[in-house]
Amino acid sequence: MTASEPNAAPTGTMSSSAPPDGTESLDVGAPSGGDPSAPSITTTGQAVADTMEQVESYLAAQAPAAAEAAPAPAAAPLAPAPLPPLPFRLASGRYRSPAIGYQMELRVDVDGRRPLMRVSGDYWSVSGGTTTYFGSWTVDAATVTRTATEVIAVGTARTTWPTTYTVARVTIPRRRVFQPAAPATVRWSTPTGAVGATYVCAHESGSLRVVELEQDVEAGVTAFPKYDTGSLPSGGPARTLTVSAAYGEAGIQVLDTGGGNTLNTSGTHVWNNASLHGAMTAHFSRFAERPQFKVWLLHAARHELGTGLRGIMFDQQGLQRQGCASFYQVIQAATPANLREQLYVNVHELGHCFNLFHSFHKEFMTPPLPNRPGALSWMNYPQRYNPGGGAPSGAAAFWGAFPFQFDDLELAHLRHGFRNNVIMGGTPFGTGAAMEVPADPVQDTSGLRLSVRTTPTRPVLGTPIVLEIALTAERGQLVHPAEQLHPKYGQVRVTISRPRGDVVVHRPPVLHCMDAGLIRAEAGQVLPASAYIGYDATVGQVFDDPGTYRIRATYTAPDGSEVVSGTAMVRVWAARDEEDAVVADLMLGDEVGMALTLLGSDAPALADGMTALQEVAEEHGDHAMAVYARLALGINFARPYTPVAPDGTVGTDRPRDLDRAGALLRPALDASRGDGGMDDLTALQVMGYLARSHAAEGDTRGARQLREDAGRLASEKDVPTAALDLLRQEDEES
Amino acid sequence: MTDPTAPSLELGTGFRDDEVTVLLDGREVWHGRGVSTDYSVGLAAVVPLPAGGETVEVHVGGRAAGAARLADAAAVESGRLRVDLDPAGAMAIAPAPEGPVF
Repeated sequence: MTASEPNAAPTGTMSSSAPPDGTESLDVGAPSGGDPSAPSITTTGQAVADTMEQVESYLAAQAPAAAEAAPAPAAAPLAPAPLPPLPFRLASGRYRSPAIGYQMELRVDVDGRRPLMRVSGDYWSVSGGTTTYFGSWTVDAATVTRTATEVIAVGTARTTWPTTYTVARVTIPRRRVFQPAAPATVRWSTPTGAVGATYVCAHESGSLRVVELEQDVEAGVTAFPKYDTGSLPSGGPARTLTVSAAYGEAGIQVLDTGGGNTLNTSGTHVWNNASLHGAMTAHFSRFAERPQFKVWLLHAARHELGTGLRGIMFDQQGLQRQGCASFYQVIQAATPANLREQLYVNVHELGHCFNLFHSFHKEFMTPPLPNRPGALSWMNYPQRYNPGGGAPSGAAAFWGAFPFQFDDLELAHLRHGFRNNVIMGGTPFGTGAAMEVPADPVQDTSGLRLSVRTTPTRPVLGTPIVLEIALTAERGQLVHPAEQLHPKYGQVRVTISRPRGDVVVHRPPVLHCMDAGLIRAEAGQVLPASAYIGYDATVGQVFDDPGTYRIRATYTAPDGSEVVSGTAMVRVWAARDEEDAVVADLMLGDEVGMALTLLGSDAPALADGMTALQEVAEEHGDHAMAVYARLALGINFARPYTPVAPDGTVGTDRPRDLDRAGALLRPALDASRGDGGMDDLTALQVMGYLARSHAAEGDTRGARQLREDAGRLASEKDVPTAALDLLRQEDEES
Repeated sequence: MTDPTAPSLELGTGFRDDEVTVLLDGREVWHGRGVSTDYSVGLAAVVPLPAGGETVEVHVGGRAAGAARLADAAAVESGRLRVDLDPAGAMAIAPAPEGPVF
């Protein structure tokens, strides 16, 4: 075989240690003839030794000065008295594999300043004399272990290309300071353990990315030099910051490439975006219409939008985000407040060039994220700072608390965002503008635990995916009631990383507003909820590709705590036969998604969706997805429907049809008593709803039987008591 | 260049290649096609308004519309009104917030 993508094992022979599932072991040596995609570094046999020699040779060539300066590991101190051990070098930093086949740039972020416990990388395809960017990958939550000899980071990667080799294991031998940094080894495998490619990457730098900055200045303007953050009250330690130093703290090395042209304009010159772009193309010596980590910053006086405009990222045509400008008209005098603002504006505008949106505009990105008006970040506006909860807001509060840094999600984007979403000249401004997956809090004392899982466990394409949410109170406290954990109430936000490489911040098509009505949860109490998340107000059908989806949820507690769940992974399998394909086609229509969200409707706008569900229920009645079709059709019959004409005229109610509802829902419920069908909570809610419908029609006996059946099912399935409480409460209300 | 003393209407967030019409007391005073928000500054356009009007209406194609009294803008020092659309297209018109933009 040959490797068709960089994470897969290359051409090779079966070894005696082949994995039990029959996958091939790693090949050895250089890529097979004519296959530029075969990884170059492998694990076994003589050829491995040959390859390791290549790597050692490469490493020696990469860091000769460090190798010469450092003592050999075997050269122990001569003094007989034991010396305290020197501290270890940081493992974090940028690494690179040899330019053979695929070359990997590896970014390790597990220690040092604000470690995010992530690793990421980019691949370049090396063929003949050309090197071409291939793709990027990111492990959002690495499990990091440290032994006396190694640092090991393991996690599942999101990738920009389809691969089954998604588990990355990064191993870095520990070295003392003054010793040269050790290479990092990345080994790929599938979730089931089949081994893929291995890359050995030489240490390149302590920074995670490097960008070249060229700065020009308009005549009469003094460009920002530096600011002592101790000059005025702030939320961080006092230190002297330049623009480069601010980015250096974020792990981004900014190389000031000089330039330093003075643009001789008239003393009253007023810039607009077109003239700024023209100036960039004329004065930015490294300007090119291609993605490159190079950026231009003009220190200018004034813009046509007036004195209120302090800066702008004007490059929003062609390949965007390559240039920005800051305006000193009213902040030129070198007072501490002005220097602070100059620093803020310059770092902020360059942040836009890295594709960062304002903290309060995140909801307008593609894909969107919740706004973060309380972010103590370079990307906020001080006057718009609002941490919520009655805490002080506004500029004075911001500056008093601001530690001169990006927030965690922005930091993750800068360090680990997919290359094209970060690099200047990459994706358009606002696209892929942040790492969308919620970050784990550094500290969590909320006393709450959020967990999520999906049902069914092995869905085929087209299956409605339901997210089961459980909030556990580890100590007694006020929380939202279980039913308000459904994302439609806004307390729980769900993000879904899709196999196509994007992330959906789930927007339920129907939102509910409700008084918080907090309840007191006892210690150990579990509050369950389930939510259909297969259809989204922004992207429509969410799970419309086969592949692996990663889902996390965030619950905003009454005290403002952001409780983040672990990651639920669900693999959507491709259609296995013709009937699967036909049913998937029916189920993935937009109107079907909306009809499932509403659990059926008589609305003419959803007629095609209801017809598709009817076809699934009738023509494919034995198919697993018929359960969901019957669910939506049956619930719709179990409730009356009031038509409203386009002119607002209200028509006559269509009454409940409990016979047809029962005929549809009973088989759906029966199919859900075992491991298949609906999730347990949904099944109970359906029974509860049907019971209330019978009661509403005067059929108290039928209602009682359904409630008794629900009680038996709950007992068999060991459903949390909060779910039963909820059903009882609904019964009382009805 | 914007005259800081004249009343104005800022078209803020949420505009996406929209056709926008601004009316003052029922009379069209500004019309723009392809209006999109520049999220670098959170602005799509700044519309100068003739002095002396009472009610400003904003129509964003067929998807959003709203109105506000200029007296609301006069109540703030800048004399600026601002219209924003949320991601779902709902419109809000209010006095523009104070402070620098960047």
